[in-house]
Amino acid sequence: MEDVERLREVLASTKQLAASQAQRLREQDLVLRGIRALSADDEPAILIGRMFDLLGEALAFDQGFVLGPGEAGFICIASTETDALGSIWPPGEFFTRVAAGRGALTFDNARVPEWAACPNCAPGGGSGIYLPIVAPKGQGLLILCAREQGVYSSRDLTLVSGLGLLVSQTLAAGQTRRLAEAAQRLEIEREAAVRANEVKSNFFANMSHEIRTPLNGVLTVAELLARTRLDDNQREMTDLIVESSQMLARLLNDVLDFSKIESGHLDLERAPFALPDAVNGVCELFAAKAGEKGLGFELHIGPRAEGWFEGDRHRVRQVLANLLSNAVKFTDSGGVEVRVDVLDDGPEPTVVVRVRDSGCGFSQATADRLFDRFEQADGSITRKFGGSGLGLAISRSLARLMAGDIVCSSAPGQGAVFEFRFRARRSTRVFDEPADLCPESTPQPTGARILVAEDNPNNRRIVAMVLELAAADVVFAENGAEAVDRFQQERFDVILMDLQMPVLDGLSATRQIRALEADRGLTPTPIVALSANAMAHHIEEALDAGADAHVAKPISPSALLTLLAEIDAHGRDGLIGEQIAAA
Amino acid sequence: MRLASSYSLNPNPAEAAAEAADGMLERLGAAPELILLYTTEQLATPALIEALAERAPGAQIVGGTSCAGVMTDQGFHCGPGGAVGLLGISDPDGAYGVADSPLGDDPFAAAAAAVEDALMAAGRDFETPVLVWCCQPPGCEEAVIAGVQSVIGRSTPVIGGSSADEAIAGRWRQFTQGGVLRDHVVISVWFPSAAHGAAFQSGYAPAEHSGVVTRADRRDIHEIDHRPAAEVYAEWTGGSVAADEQGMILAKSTPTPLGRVAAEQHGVPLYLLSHPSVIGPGGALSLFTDVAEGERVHLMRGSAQSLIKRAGLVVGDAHASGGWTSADTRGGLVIYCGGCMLHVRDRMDEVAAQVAEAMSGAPFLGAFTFGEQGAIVDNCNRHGNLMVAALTFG
Repeated sequence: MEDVERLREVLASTKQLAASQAQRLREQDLVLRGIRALSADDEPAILIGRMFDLLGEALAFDQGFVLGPGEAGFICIASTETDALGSIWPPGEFFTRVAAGRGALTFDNARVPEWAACPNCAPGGGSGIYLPIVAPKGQGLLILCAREQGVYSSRDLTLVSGLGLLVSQTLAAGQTRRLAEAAQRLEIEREAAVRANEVKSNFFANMSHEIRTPLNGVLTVAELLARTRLDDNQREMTDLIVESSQMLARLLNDVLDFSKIESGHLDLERAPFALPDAVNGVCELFAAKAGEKGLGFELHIGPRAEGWFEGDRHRVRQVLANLLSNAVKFTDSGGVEVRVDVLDDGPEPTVVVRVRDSGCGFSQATADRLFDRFEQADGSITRKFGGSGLGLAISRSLARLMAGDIVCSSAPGQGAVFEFRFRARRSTRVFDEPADLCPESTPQPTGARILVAEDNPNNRRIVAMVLELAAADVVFAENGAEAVDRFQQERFDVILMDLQMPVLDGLSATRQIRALEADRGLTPTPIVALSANAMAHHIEEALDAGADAHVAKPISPSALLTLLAEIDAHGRDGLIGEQIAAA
Repeated sequence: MRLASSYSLNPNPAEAAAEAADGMLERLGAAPELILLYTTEQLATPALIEALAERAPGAQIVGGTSCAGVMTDQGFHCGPGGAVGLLGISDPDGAYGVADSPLGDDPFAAAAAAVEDALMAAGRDFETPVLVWCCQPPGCEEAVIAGVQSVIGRSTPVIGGSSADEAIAGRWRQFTQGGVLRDHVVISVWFPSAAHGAAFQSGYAPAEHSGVVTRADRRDIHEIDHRPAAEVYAEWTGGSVAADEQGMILAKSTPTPLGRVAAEQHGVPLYLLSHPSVIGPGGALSLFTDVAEGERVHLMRGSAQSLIKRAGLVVGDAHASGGWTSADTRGGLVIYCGGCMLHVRDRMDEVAAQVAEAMSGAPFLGAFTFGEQGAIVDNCNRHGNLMVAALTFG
């Protein structure tokens, strides 16, 4: 009898163990089948469909829902009930608790408050299994409903949890893959955008060259014409041509700057410059213009602004010129005041240039959009004063590139104050900064022998006219190869080298000439790159190839003559990579 | 989820409650959400509940009277002034609710009402609990289970025991945080944060005799195979319980209860036991369970040794059901038939030691009841006699 009892005890325990193991095997089997079925695809719709199929094999249910997070609550992203798709449940306490990680069972779904918010989807009663699941957009719920009341137990919850976790992980993996694909697509799109931007930049560069070449002709010839004997009427017309050409050149520069800023290709220089000198030069110019309008003009440079700073002198002047141009343009009475100061004594202080005018002013609404591209205070300004509408946008971009900004304050009829701030490291280096070119003080070189490499006949003629003023002995080459040939035959005091030429371009010709000089032990001849390719990297390329200076087209006759005079006086040492902007 | 047990043999109910509560709180190290309370009938007074509530304010209480003593991980506890045993549960991530309802004439409706109220108390009024722990007087257990299942369905384990006294004199009581109750069903719904395992078994094997109940009235079997039930039973037991011995036969019938096949698993029958308690006039045999005409009853046999070992084995099965070993358990509860306890009373220390070993020293509370409820391996909730129900957490 004792043996029988012991056997029954063992049997009872074995049965209990077998039942437990059977339950666990059931759970594991479901997960394993899930792994096999779900690993083949991670698209949410397919995954969830397969999940419902698997669950149906393991557990009886009549309705299944997958809810994901949405802005207004939980949204049905998959369901055995097609009518439920897209339905939204406000985020009630129960669904929120489940989504946060606490699975639950219900014995009567009709009592679940969340279903009341979505009656067209409500199961109406019966039992429910509510599981947290990681849906594609975050924490959601998997809901299985049976019509019969109270049929699910915690074992069923455990059973389904394994598959829910698997689906969550697969969905997450799919999400990761899709994110990677999206990132890859974005990268491809970004590269395409970069390429398109480069194409645009190249287009602008080419347009720059193509526009500058004829503009060079118009402006230079007009300036040369102005130097001849003319009657009053002819002089007025010549002045108009010069002024219009200069305006066109400024517009061209604005468009080019805008293009470079947009493409991220605008590089600032970092070179020592004397801040007072840089400011003075610009202010003198606009003081004269203000004087022409009967306006006062005051410049105050604070003691801390004295001295040398490291930065892009040209761009600082450009911004100041833009602010002063507007101040003078929009002021009919009173005057313009410029104050320059430095805010702190650190190694890289903030320089503040404040331009105040007593002009027409503008409203706050206008101020808000004044720095937008192509914006002016109102449409009538364009009609009255002209301008590209890019000046302030470019100036603000330049200021921000200098770790600063431009802000303004004004009111209609109250004048305006523009404050230009930029960071500039103090510099102790003393640098022989080139003085502003002043046509009136242009030294006149005499009798130099000059080789001019230029493929455009009009430009050859224009250069010839300029150089006539210097009584130069000019030899022309129509391309780089001809220029190298002529250089091999004879020596010149200066070579003016166009960069874009057929047969052999100016850069290659310059390199060959420098190589010949090196081979033969000749003293290097000053070479001035003469080109409408005026972007920073063009200038750098020219200097790298061996040119001593770069003169942008349209050529300013006086600037070129000054340069030649310096060469005449000091040879190559007088240049040191000098750049002369277009007229 | 943390568990801690304690006991007291202090004959003063308030002092016993205070002593036990202090011990439990010290071991638990946190305020309990739920306290399982079992005491002998001597201590079942309002002062006991009041003192306990004072020590653990806010805690819900569920339990009832236990026959002759209680059992914890510290041993079997039985004193001249009675015994009180506590199991405190601290589970901030879980949810628990306790409610009661007077049985009146409709235990089914009372249980249904109690489970609804308990769900409300847990703050989960429409959620299916992980398990239900119940306590009611003997006599209406089937209706109580049916009432609970009418609300939450048949899939949730209903575990517990019927409150007991010393001499089947109706001095059994039920406990909630509201006080000491008489003829009430007390239902607690559990949403624990930890996994649980449960087992429900007897320590008996079918003997060679069986017959069909041919006349019965609820818990009274009048005839087996068309013969007076007492006469048939006397034959089956070989005269250990005489047919003409009218009156209480509880102690004598403990080694030879009747069993019915409740379920089969892989061809192996699973028996639910019925304890013959009284031989009535006319040879009727009164049981502690309902029996229906047409059911086949088997004579079951169990030895003292089997009853001593059984509780520990059932605890091991509960661990297996949960999927963990005894070393990984957090502790739990054991309901042990009061009749069995009386049969092996002198060796209850061994029973407690076997359970403590199966629990690997984890805290537990054991009560001795006049009717046990649980789910056998077919996952259907049953009421039986001479059974052991175990609930453990992993």
